[in-house]
Amino acid sequence: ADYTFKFQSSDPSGDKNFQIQKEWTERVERMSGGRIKINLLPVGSVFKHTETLDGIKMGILDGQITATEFFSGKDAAFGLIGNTVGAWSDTTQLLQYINYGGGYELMNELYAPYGVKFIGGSTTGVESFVSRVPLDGVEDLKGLKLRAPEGLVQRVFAAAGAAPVNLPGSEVFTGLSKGVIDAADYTVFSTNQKAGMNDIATHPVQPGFHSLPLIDVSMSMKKWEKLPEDLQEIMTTSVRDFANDITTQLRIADQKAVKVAQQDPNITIHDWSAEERKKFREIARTQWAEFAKQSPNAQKVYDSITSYLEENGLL
Amino acid sequence: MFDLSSLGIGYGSLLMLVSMILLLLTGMQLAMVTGLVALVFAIGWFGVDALPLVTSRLYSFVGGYVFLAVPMFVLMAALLDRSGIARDLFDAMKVVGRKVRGGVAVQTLVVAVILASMSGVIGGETVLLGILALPQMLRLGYNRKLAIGTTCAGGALGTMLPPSIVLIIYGLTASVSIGDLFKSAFLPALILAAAYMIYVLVVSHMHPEYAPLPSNEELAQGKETNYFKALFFPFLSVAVVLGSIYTGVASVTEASALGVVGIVISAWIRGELNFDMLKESAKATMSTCGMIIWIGIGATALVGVYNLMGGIDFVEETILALSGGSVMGTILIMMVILLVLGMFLDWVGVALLTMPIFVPIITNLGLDPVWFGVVFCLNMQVSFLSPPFGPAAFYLKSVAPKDISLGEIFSSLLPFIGIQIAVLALVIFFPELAIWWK
Amino acid sequence: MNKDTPIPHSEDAAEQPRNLLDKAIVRIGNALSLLFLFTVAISFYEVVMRYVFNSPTIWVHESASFIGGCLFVFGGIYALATNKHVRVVLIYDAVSERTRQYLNVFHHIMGLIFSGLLAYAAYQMTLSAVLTPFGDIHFETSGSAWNPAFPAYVKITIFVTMCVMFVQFALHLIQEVLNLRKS
Ligand code: NA
Ligand code: NA
Repeated sequence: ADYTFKFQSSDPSGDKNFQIQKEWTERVERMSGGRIKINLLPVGSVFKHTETLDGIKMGILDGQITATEFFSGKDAAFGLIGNTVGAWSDTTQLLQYINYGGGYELMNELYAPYGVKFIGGSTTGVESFVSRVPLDGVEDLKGLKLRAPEGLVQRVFAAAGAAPVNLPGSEVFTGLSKGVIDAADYTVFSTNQKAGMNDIATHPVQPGFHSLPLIDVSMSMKKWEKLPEDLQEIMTTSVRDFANDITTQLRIADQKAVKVAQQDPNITIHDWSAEERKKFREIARTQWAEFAKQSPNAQKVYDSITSYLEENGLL
Repeated sequence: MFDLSSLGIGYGSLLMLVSMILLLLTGMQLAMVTGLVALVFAIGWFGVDALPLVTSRLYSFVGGYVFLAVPMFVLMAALLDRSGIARDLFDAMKVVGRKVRGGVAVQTLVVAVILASMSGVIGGETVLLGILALPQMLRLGYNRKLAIGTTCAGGALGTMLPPSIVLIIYGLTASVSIGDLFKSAFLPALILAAAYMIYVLVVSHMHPEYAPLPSNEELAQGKETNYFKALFFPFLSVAVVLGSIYTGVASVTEASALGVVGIVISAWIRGELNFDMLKESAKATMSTCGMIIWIGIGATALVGVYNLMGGIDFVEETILALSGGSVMGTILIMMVILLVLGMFLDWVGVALLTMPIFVPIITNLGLDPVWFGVVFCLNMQVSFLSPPFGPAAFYLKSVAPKDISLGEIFSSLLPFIGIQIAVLALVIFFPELAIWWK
Repeated sequence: MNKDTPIPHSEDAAEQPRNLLDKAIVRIGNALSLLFLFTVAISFYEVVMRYVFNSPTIWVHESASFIGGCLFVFGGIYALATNKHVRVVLIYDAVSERTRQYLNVFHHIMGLIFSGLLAYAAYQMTLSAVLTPFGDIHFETSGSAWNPAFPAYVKITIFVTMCVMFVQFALHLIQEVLNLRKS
């Protein structure tokens, strides 16, 4: 290959996401006639997930496939655009914003000082909300003990009256089964179902209303600029296809899992109405505004996303 | 500047391993050996700009919440050591059968099991048993090798029985539920302890001179043991730690903190608590943690550099090529790799080096990663005893009578290593011994 | 067993601090070690608040990890000052006193390279944790709801500690070389 790159993923190698990402790297190799070869490394193999941006900046890694929100500590802007909690009800809304609504340009602007090129955005799927108790709207969140990852997610839930708890991902299952927590922001429905989450917490909210992370594929600006234009185009186009591929595959898996869960008399799937989702978004918006005060870039993200949402009648 | 990358990953791996072993054998600090090899390979393979990779891994490693369980467990052992709790427990366990040949050795193992279910690090228990039990057996005229082996092997059980830091680290690197790992490790751990006991009893029966019976006066001594006082606090602590984990009241790190609180309260009720004791225990924790964590730092640096060199694919391909794709072959190769690494490296290093590579292979083969965690943990039991780098032996040496040499300790451990490997094989061939509850 | 038997804690000469710097490190380390007890206390507080009062804190996990992280890093120079780092001594113990002295010199040269490279790398890492790409001062934060600047502080601690370790190895090396000359 003329260009060999090392990308680190934010997923472990056994994960389905990692497999789909790996398929993307293989596709790039074929599309470029073998001129590009991307070695995909699993999460933590070289850098901790929050450190890959530095890794690219130092020239140790060539690129990353990661959730943008992990860099929230560097600049709150990454936290806000990386997971605008409550903003998106499905994956197409987010992808539309990223690809056609100003997100692409904004991400490139944010990454430029780090010497990083944003090739394109993707996402997983709207995460399903795991719960032991029936939740049909914002009102039911009051006093709910829930596990949420740190950051904006926790703030929004706290603002909605819930009591967020810090628990490592590996403790979620036991925590739920023993009732230490009532609910958890975990991951997409199919994975939850497979892990048995829905058997111990039988009131999942699907589709979820809270979390839709931006997954970005980005690489070193220096290396990007060395690529001839045709290869740059292959990278950009293939990432757009990758986004479509991963979200569709996950949606299919989710739909299958939902069917299985519906057959199960013990599991009740809750789907929030559009009004309740909007109510949650309103609460979330107050927290976005708070979050945006942390840096000028974060304010830029806030303005960009809220004006997009307003234009599209989502706020 | 030399360019190591021209060696290719195969010879690169070999050079790494050989230079590491040579440096280790000069007596250089393990943490510095792995760290230095990592730094030199980072420069040699990628250039000076790659150096921050090493400190980035250092930073990521020390900031992990779960590693806080290490100082908690060490603190627990230090407090047990400085209060009379462990000693009373040992005295009370005389009831186990002083009148049987090998009784004191069996008593030692029973105490080892109880201590092991309170704490989760290697070291504390070995030292405690080395102080409490070894002198007794030597005084009674026990065969030295039998006495030393029992003490070391029993002390190592701390990381086999839950709670166990080895299982915790495995659970994190493999993203497997730690609760499930604990559940699965119980039976194999008890089988291992029982196997030690049977071995002791059989050897004492075959060679009565190896395990003389205590005299009648000695049996009469200290008969007025207060069993309630001696047993209540240890079992309370076990209940607090394991109870809070299994009921889900607390995460493992928090449970270890609860365990410390439990022992502090026990010592207070027993009238033994004072500030000096706390201070001394904290000091011991600082030094032991510096030691344990820095071994992990060196290892994690090495792993990062090796992964960047392309080590993951290389090891994976090598294992699959050697095994020809057979499941049992793959597992056996992994076991051999673990046993060999365990001779030279600390378990933290072995876990960080191998698990990111092994666990995906195991899951792809359709095997249960929880079961594999127990197998890994058993394998690390061997590494605690195997020369030249056998932590249990070092710990015992630090408290054993001066005339006991490291060489004598290691040769005493051989039969126990044999037992460990036998139990390891048992769990490999009968996975249901670990995952029966699933 | 006699209850009054003192537990033999190592008083080995090799484990005593060698010079003023080592002594200072041990002093400071002894004081800092009390923070381990503090992390126990706040972890206990967290469990009680969450389980009994149903109101988990947002600061315990991060504070405990931060304190632990800094202590772990410091533990490296503490263990070095008291010669507690683990080594394989099967050969080291078997060779002559003279050879052992040469080995010590070798170890300390290696240690000097080790800590020097680490200090340099830590400097690079710390720089990007306290400055934005534009060169403004911005301490890297954890990105959590609480959002303390702990990542930057831990990185600074790593840098400072590595510098101290470098000096430690340098002083030890000088001492070993002098010993070698004497004998
Ligand atoms: Na244990
Ligand atoms: Na070993």
